[in-house]
Formats: sequence, structure tokens, C-alpha cells
Amino acid sequence: MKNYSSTYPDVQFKGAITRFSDRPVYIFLALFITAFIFFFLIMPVMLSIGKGFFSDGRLSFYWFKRVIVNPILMGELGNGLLLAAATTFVSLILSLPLAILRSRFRFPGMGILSMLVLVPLILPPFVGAISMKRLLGQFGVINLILEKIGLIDISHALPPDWLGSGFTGVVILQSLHLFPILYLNASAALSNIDPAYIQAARNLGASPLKAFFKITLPLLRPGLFAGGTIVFIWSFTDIGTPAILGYDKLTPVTIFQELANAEVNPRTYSLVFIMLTGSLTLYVLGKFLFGQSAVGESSKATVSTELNKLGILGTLLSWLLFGTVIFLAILPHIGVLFLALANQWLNSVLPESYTLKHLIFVVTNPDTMNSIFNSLRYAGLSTIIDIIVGSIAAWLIIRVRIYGKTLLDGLCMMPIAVPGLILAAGYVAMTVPGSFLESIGPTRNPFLILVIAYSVRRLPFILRGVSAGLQQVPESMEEAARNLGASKMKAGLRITLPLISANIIAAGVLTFAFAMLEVSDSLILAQTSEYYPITKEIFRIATSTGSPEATNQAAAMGLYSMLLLGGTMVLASILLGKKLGTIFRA
Amino acid sequence: MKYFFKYRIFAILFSLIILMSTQGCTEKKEKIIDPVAKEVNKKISEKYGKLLSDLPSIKLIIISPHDTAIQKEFERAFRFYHAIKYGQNVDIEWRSLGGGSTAILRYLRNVYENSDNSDIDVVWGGGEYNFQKMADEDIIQPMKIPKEVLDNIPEDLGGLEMYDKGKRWCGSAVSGFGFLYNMQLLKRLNIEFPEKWEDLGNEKFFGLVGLADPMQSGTAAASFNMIVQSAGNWKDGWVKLLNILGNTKRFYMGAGDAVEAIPSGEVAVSTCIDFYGITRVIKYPGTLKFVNPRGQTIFNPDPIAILKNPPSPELAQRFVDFVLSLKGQALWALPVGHPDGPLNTTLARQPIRKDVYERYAGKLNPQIVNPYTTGQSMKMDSELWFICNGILRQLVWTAAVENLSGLKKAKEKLIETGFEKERLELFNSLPDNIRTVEDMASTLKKLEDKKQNDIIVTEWIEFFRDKYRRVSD
Repeated sequence: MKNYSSTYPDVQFKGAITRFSDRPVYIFLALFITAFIFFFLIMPVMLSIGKGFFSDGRLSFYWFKRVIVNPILMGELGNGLLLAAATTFVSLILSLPLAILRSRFRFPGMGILSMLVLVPLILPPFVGAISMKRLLGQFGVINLILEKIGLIDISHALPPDWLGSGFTGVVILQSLHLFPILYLNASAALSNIDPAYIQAARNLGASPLKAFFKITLPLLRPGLFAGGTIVFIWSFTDIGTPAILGYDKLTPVTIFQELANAEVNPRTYSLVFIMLTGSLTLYVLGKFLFGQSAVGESSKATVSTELNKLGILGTLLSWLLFGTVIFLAILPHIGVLFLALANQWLNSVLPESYTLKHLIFVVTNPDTMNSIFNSLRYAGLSTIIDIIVGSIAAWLIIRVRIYGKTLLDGLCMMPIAVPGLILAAGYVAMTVPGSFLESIGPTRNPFLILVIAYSVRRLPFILRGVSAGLQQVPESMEEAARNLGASKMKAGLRITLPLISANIIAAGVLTFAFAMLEVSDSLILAQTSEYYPITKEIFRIATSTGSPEATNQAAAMGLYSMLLLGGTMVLASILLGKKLGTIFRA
Repeated sequence: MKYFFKYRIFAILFSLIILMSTQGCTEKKEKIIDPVAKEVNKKISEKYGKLLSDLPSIKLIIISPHDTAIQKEFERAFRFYHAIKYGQNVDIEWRSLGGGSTAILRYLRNVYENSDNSDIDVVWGGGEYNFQKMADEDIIQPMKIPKEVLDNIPEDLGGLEMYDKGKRWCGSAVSGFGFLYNMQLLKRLNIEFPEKWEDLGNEKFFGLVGLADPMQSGTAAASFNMIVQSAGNWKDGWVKLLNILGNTKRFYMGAGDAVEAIPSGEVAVSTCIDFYGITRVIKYPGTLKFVNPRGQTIFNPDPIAILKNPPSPELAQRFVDFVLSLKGQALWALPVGHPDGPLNTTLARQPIRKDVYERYAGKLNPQIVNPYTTGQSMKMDSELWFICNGILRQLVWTAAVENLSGLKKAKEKLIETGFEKERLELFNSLPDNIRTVEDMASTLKKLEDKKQNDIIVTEWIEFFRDKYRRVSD
């Protein structure tokens, strides 16, 4: 597509006249969004961590000191940072070669492979980790295979425990789950790089490798940063994966466990504050250090990169590379499939017998069906709210000149750095019995609060997706409409909105998919089974101790949600193609 | 271009329609064939001239940590019982906090501090310790327990009360503790099958035991307490327990996770509450084995109680009556397929009433142990039991959960050096404030204060970390 923003620099439109009649509307909209963010993000966060500032009824730093001098808690914070860094790094290693392969070369089957790369993102929480344990346990599937082919003999020596270090397990599982986010960003960023730069470098005698490190990589930086931040924060605040792998030496897991008690030590809240400031600082720091847009310094590509067609050997190698990564990444998915179908499965590589009863259980059990329906309602409604709020915010930020729009942008992007756990705790505090919001609290009917929680947390995805769309649609079209007498508002609604509908729909589909997988708010805010979303239902079944079928039933539940989300992702990918990556840009 | 957009929107609409319609289809298929329902309906229509579904509905609210299988089976059985006896269809609303009875106690305490009712009728399931607290704090109210029931429940079993003297709570089932292991795996590893708690401390089990974190799982805490009790005194009990803790591969977040680590091939043996183990043995009879170590376990009552000022007091009492009736009791232990048994899931739990074991002799699930057989239950030291209840959670957490890698290294060193006397003594040593039972009692008081608690726990962690380091040197 022709890139208009370089042809018509922004500066040309800065003098655009804003009609007086529109002004109050913008102010109203801006206030509306600020209020939304204030009430549903800032206030709950403040409520959730405020108690950490008091000791014996007085304002005090006592509990902060206790956290800071506590080697375990500080160690857990360090573990979390290490985990997030390791996960981001491994994801980068996994995704970068694939992204380069995809954006620079052409080979048969590329379409299917680049679609399959997205599959890891739709791994349902908890059951993915359970199937990973089956694979990697000391007497699990992998060691059983190794024994079958004669590499190990367990009657002589204990086999290696692949899950031995819970930390490694978490890094592997998280990386294989999250690398597609980086892959998408890297692909999008790569396609935005003007090939003229690389050609120039090559013409001046640089080797392909040198050209890559000196030209491509620096230009790629903002894209990698965008994906990296999301992977980093995701990993830093993840509870599900470490919890099931039995690795609890992480701040969010500790917080989750302590918040689960009805009586919470104020130390927990100060820990939350430290974790929140930590992730926010890292985000802001990262944005200033690595996140500066390269577009300001260089123009975007005006010619598309010529794709090199790969020969047979190249094609085979590409298939091998993609195939290996995808295979490893969907091993947990395959495990979930087998678990869902297994009747008897003990001490063997594959189940000894199969059954459909778990799959049938899910569709015949009113509780599980109810949770699917709940998730659809929560995720659907929150996506609609996100589309409305996010699109208005994007439009205000990109197209309207109002004071403080940078602040507005920052506010709307904040949820990405706020762990869901903290938000959930804030909502709990806002709706305690006796408060005027009690009726929407978790002890009554948490429908509204869950929808709000979901929408606040996914708002950044919509904002970025719609902003990307707005930046690509030339404002001159709106100008034309306005010259013909339309108000700015009307021009926006009649001209721009239809042109960016694809972005909105695709970002919406993605938001929907992530909302369906939301864990921390769901675990804390949905307390009666009537209101459980899929994720909490999976958690409930997986941890229901009395039944030996629990794991299989949870897996069946996971399989259905995978299929549901798989459909959504395929749809998203068809709708947006390469530009899917722009949605993730921070 | 225009058509393209239209096409996309249609694609989305189409998939949404499919989603919604699958929802509709599956809801219709919900009905499960229940062999007893027909007979029940016959009785109801003879007595009231209506079918079960046409009877007027009433609601009972129960807060419980019991899992869905127990909830479903008891709800179904109670619905039939109630419909026949009283001509009303009962719907039970189950409240769950996602945790065990401790979370429920804290929740109820919070509610009753601010209000004189909780909008909940019955609280069911958990440790007797928590129910006694509820009784002391006036959260639960006295119930009517018929003489026929009381005649068949002993006042105490092995020293543990089976019901409250003021009849504010009553055990509805009893659970023993033991361990589940993978026979096939142990055979291949050339390890003898364990029979007693101390066997799990054997060096051959080093790195093969799965345990649950006692801070997260009350069940795990109780089983640790039992291991201590089985040694007779605190000093030997701690040594016995630490020996097992040193063989741990991993601490799981819940008792259920620890049990699931066996089928998933992570560990060879894990300690668990009896019915977790038994239900798994039922699924893999030739491969898994559950041991209720004879004379080394205490049977805990699983209480039921009526909350203060319940919304439906009469219905709450009827539910309690049903759970304590012969039929309600048999539901715990009969296999699927027996007319008085469960519909879908064998619950495999021990009824608390003695007469059930006689009345249904030969019909109960073969894995069920009669707790009233002599020699099955041990006699406990109630003072030590009470103190350990308060201390062991945090002690085990600091000594083993938080210091697992250090503990493993220390135990490995002990095995390598053939358990040298000095090293072993150092390994077994305890912090000063819990050396004796008296020390423990005063420490337990301090632990109740949040600031003191934080300080003591932090000190313990450092104590054990340092000690293990010295043992491994």
C-alpha cells in the first residue's frame, strides 16, 4: 500500500480549523475517557495498594521497610525480573529468525506456516502447563520415549528431571507461548524498513551480516521494543504458568496466594506497590531507551521489499526452522488434546485407552457450558466497550488538537503495565460489603465489574490498532469532506470510520481473544460458579481434588476454548494479515 | 473494496451465529439418564399428583469447599429425599471461595462482624478446628441431632471430637491420611513398597516424594501433624517429619496437585487425604496403591453446621438430617450403580456413622476403611496436636518449602556421608523458640500478632538456610 504519511507530512494539516461547535464535544469525550480511566484504573489501583502505607492506623513506611529488608520477597522480585528478562530473550531468539525469513523470502507453504505460528498464543491457561508437566516430568512422556529408544534405563539411574528447575520450565513454557507477539511485531517492523537503506549499505561494501547488524537491527528496535515490553510485562505478572509448574518463588504468585486469604497482611499491599512501580518504571525506561520511533529519523518504505524466492533447499530449511519452533510450541496443545481424549494414561507415552466422555462432559455439564457462555458475554461486551472507548481515544489523540492528549495517550496505555491482579484487588476493595458499589462486587453479581476489568486491561490493544489505522488513512480525505461542508465529527464518522473499520474489527477480534483467556481478574472477581468464565472454570476443574478425571475434564474444556480462540485468531489473521503486529505496539 | 468489507462483516456475523447456536444446541442435550429418577417421580406423583419438576421450588444456600462431585451427588440425593418427604423441589446454591475452610471461616467472621446474618444456611466441610472456632465465635447455631444418629457417632475417636458437645457442629464423614504411590514405577526403580510414614523418609525415596505446601493446603498441614503424632513426642516427631521433607521433590500448591503429580509422572509417591488416593486407585487399580498406615493415622471429622440466622432454618435442618441419615451416610461410600449410591462419581469417603458399615456390609466400596476397627486409628496427644496445628504450617514452610534446595543438598550430603552423628544432629536441630512443647506454646501466642509473626518467620527462614548450608559443607 502506498504510504501517505510520508507523502503528506502531518505538518500540512496543523492549521486545520476546528469548528467552535465541535469543541465542547471533544472536551466532553476527553473527559469521558479520563473519567473511565480514573474510576476503573487509577482509583482501584490506589485502593488496592493504599493499605500498604499504614501501620497501626498511621501513615507509615513500616511495611515497605519490611519488604525491602526481607530477602525472600526481594529474591522473588529479582526472580520475577530474571524470569521476564529470560522469557523475553528466549522469545526474541525464537521469533527473530522466523520474522526475517517471512519478510525477506518467499517459499511454498509460507502462508500456512505464518498462520500456525499464531497458534501458541491460544494456549488455554493451566491445562497447557499440566500437559507440559506430563511431557517433561521425571517419569513423563519424554523420558519414557528416551527409555523406549534405549537412551536411558530408569532401573539403573534416575532419569533427568526436565522440570527440575521450575524456573527453566516457566521460561520455556512462557517463551513458547509468547514468542508470536514478538514475531508479529518484528514482521511488521521489518516490512516498514525502507530496503533502500540496506541496498545503500550493501553498495558501499557491507556484508549482508554487517548490513543486518548496522542497518536492519537498529531500525527494527522500536518494533522489537513494542513486542518485548508486552512479553516482558506479561511474563513478569503471570500467575497461571508458574502456579501449575509449582514454581512459587515469584512476586505475583506470592501476592496471589496472600490475597486469597480473607485476612491480608498490609505487607502484601506494599509488595504490590513495589511491584507496580517496578513494572511502570521499567516500561517508561524502556520506552525512552529503546522505544523511540525510528520513523521520525527516517521515512517509511515507499517501495516494497523485493521478496527473494527460495530454492528447494532453502524451502526445506525454512520448513525445518518454522516446523521445529511450531512443533515445540504446540506440544502443550497436543498434550491438551491427548489429555482431553485419554481414558487411562499412566506410565505410558500415549494414552492406553481413549474416550469421548470428557469432551461430552463439557458440553453436557451446565456449569462448564455456562462458563463458556459467561466468557463469551464478558469478552464480547468488554470488546464492544473497548472499541468505543479505544476508538474515541485514538481519534482524539491522532486527529484532534486538544491539550493534554499526550497525557491521555499515556493514561490509556497504562493498563498494559498494571498487573491484572492489582486491578482485581482494587475492584474488590471498591465493592466491599457496605460500599455503594457492593451490588456489582464479587460477592453479589460480578458481571459488570468483570466486563469493566476486561475492557480496562485490553484497552491498549484497541488504542494501538485504531491509531495505526488512523495514521495510515490520509487526513486529506476528511479535509475534502469538510470542504464540502461536513463537520469534523461528521467527516470522522462518515469518511474515516469506514476506512479504518478493518483495523477496528481486527483489533476487536484480538481483544476478544485475549479477554477470553484473562486469568487474574477472573480468578479473583468471579466467586460463585454461576459467574465463572472459562479460565476460572478450567482452574476449578483442574484443582477439583476428589475426581481422578479432573485433569482430563479441564483439558477437554481447554480444547474447546482453543478451538474457539483458534477460530478467532484465524479470522483476525485473515482480516489484518501482516498488520496484526501493529496492534501490539506499545 | 466495498464488497470486501461487507464480506468480512458477514464472516464475523456468521461465526457469531454459529457460536450462539452451538450454545443453544448443547443446552438442550443437558439431560442425563438417571435410573432412580423414574421411581422417584412415580412416588412423588402418587403422593402429590405431580412430577418432580412441577413441584414448588425452594432454595438452600450452602458454603462449602467440597468439590463438584460431592455437591452434585448430595444435591441430587437430597432433592429426591426432600421431594418425596415434603413435596418441594430443592435447589441448592453452592458458594465457593476457591479455598478451604480457613478461607470460609475468615469470610464468615468478616460478615458476622458487620451483620447478624450471612444470607447462607449451611456451612459444610473442612477441619474440625475451624468449626470449633466458628462455634466459639457464635457464627454457627445449635442443631437438632436425633438420638439415633448420636448413638452411632462416638464422642471422640483417637482423642479427636467427632461432634460439638453443644451440637453446633457434627461430623458428617471422617477422613484418614496416607500416601498414594505408583507401584509399577517403584518396581522398576527397585524400591520396596512403603507401608508406614517412616518408610517415606528412607533414603531410597530421596527426591521422589510429592508434598503440598502446608500454607496453601490445610490437608497437608494435618498430614504433617499426623506424622509428628505417630512418633509419640515432639522431638522424635520433628526428626521423622524432617526426614520425609528432605525427600521431597517439589511442594505443590494444593493437596490435589500433589496427588495429580503421580499420574503425570512427576513423583513416585505423595501424601494425601484418603479419598483423593482411593478415587485414583479406583481408576488405576493395578498400578496405583493407597496406604492408610495402620495405627498411624487419625480420622478427622468433616463437619456440617447451620449458620447463625439462616434464611431457611427449617430447610437447613432438613439438609443436616439428610446428610446424617443412613441413606445420606451411605452415599459417601457406596459405588456408582447401587440404588442408594451416587449417580456419576464414587465419592469413596468414610461415613461417620458406625451402623453404616454394618448395614451396608459388603456393598461399600472395597477401598473404604472402617475407622472403628481396632488398631486402625492411633491415640493422639491432644496438647501436642493443638500446638502443632498452630505452628507446623509456618515451620514446615520455612524449613522446607522456602528452603527446599538447601534442604535437599543437606539431605544428599547426609546420605553420602552415611548419616554422620554430628551432621545428623545439626540437621535435626530446631530454632530455640520451638525446642520444647512449652517453647512452642509461647511462640504460638506470639505468632498471632502480625508484626511478631513476620519477624519470627523471617528469622526461621534464615536459621534453616544457615543450618542446611553448614550440614552440606
